[in-house]
Amino acid sequence: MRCIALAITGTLGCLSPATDRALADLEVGRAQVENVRFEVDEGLAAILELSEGSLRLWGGAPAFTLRAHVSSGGASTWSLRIDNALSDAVLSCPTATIEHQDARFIVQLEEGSHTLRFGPRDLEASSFRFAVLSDVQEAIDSVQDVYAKINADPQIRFVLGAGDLTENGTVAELTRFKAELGELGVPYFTTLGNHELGASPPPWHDMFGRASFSFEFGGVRFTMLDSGSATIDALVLERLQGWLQRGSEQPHVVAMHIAPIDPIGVRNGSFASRAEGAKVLSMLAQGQVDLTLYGHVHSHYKFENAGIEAHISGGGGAIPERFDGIGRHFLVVEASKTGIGSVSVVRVDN
Amino acid sequence: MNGAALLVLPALLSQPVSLPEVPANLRLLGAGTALLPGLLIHGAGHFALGRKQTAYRLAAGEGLGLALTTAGALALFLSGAADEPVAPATIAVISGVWLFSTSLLADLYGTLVPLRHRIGKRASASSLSIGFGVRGVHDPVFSYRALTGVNAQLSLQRIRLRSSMWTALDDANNRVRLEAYLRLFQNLPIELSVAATYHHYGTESLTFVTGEGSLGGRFDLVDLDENLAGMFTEVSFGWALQRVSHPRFADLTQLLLGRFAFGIYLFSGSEISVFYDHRHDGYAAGLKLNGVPSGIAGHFGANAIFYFGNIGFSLEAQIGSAFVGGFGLSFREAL
Repeated sequence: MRCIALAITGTLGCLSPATDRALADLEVGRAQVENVRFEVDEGLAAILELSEGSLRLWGGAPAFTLRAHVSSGGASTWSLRIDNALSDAVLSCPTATIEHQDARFIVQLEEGSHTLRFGPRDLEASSFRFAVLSDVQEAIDSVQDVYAKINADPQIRFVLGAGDLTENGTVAELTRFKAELGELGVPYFTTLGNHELGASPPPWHDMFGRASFSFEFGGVRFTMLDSGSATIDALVLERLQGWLQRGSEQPHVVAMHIAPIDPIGVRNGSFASRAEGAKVLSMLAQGQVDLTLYGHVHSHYKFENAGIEAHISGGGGAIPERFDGIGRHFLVVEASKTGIGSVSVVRVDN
Repeated sequence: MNGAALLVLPALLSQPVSLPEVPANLRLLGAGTALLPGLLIHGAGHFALGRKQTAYRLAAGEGLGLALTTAGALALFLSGAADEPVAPATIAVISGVWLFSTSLLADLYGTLVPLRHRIGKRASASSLSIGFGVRGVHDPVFSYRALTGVNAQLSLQRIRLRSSMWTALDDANNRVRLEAYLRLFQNLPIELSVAATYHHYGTESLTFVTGEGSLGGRFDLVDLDENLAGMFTEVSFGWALQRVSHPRFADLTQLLLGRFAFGIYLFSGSEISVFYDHRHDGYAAGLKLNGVPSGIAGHFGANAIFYFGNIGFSLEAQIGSAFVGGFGLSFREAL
């Protein structure tokens, strides 16, 4: 009987391969040391290191709120370092003294609760550009070519990633990818792809943060979804409902690695279930999403799904799709609080 | 239709195979060899039984299967899954896995089950069958859990017509499918099929309308080799055009169809089979996998139908994006 129960559990478990990651998302941005507890609202930053008096975060969004709860006996002076951030981002807190020193902030936290806000002063920029880059994988040795092209456009504020940063998602590969990001002049906000799921459990959440999350910048809502297992977990679909509601009155960009339905249907480089893919698209359509961005296929496709403009862009350098004449590339998207503008393809190898 | 025919028909369908038998101790050796090294070298079991020609044929099937799978996988890899070669490359992979799995299962069954216990090739007979069934579905994405369905099949000499309808008992979901099969050649079991499916997901306000065509057939392995009596294999490939509509949009997409199965004949026209189906729609859809094969694979399943006279009891199970299990009752009458 026990074997039968295990077999059934194992079988049913494979129907929801992304549930563990959806639950791991909820733990991102939470940590405690001694008498001080930190929590990043909506997990929009990952806590990389936390020790008495020292905190290091990896930014998952251009702006986020960090809450600190200091009990009696907790350290009052904190060195706070935030990686992967906009160069003009500032840290502010009405109940704490903050000093900016080189690449870190020195924060004086007294006993009690504090709300620290991190982000650029011009969060409500009139218009801006962002780039979209996915599927670097084994081409990590030449990714600097791509970053150089992105850096050549000073109007790009950040890069959005739709997954497959690495070949197998190991700690070593993710560490290498982060190291290479040091040469990119703007932050990289990304979800994961199927290639990040090689290790079990995947180290993604400890190193990059949430796989499914949503943030606002310049009056535009960005929602990143984990579709790395060719499905979106039911827990994430519940959260998506809330994000779609929040984004219904503003331009809304949704990105995920594997598209719900592949425009090349016979290939099915998309969700495992056509019905689930259609269900997700119907949610996006009802939520009045303006733009959907995908990776996974190593080429560029522009199409419509559920009446929403869609781009597949897997041009980071991973084994390219032949015969399409596109090669390595990234997208540049014009956006503002009034809408999404042009989406341009920038080729890396002319 | 008279009573005598009702008595004769089951007998015709359950003629035992009459072939030379092997001693019990040799059969045990064959069964063990079919596992090791038979899992690696298909046909090893039959070779141990002294059925060398059968063994060579199964090994050839394995070799051809490996070659097709490798060629198809290489084409997908080297082309970066480009849209031009993706369909033929995928067909090559599925064909390769079909041949590989068929040769393995044929070697296992052929060595484990003595010839005298196997039922021979099913005689084709015109018949009408109607049935009903229930299904349990566990899909984390949708709310239906229990379905009830009816089906009918008319089999004539070279034409088969089949219809089925499934309705959820606990959700607004129903599926209607019509299929027509035409046997193209008198002496070859190759069929051309066309089908139309209507599937409505009421809760999600989604409707799928699919039109498709396929080419394939069921091949009795006894026609390949007498020692493979009692087994059959099926394979088919096709293409579908699917329209998915919602109050806010309507999209058109395509599906590559591919299916293969391995089965054994039992008493009175009964049979058991296991299959792989590459389609990503329907209740089972495709397997959710991590890593490189994410989204590509279809679903696996097993079917069984047991006839007692003209009454059939069927069982089914499928695993893809959902687990589907069910049973049914049917009535079959020869024409």
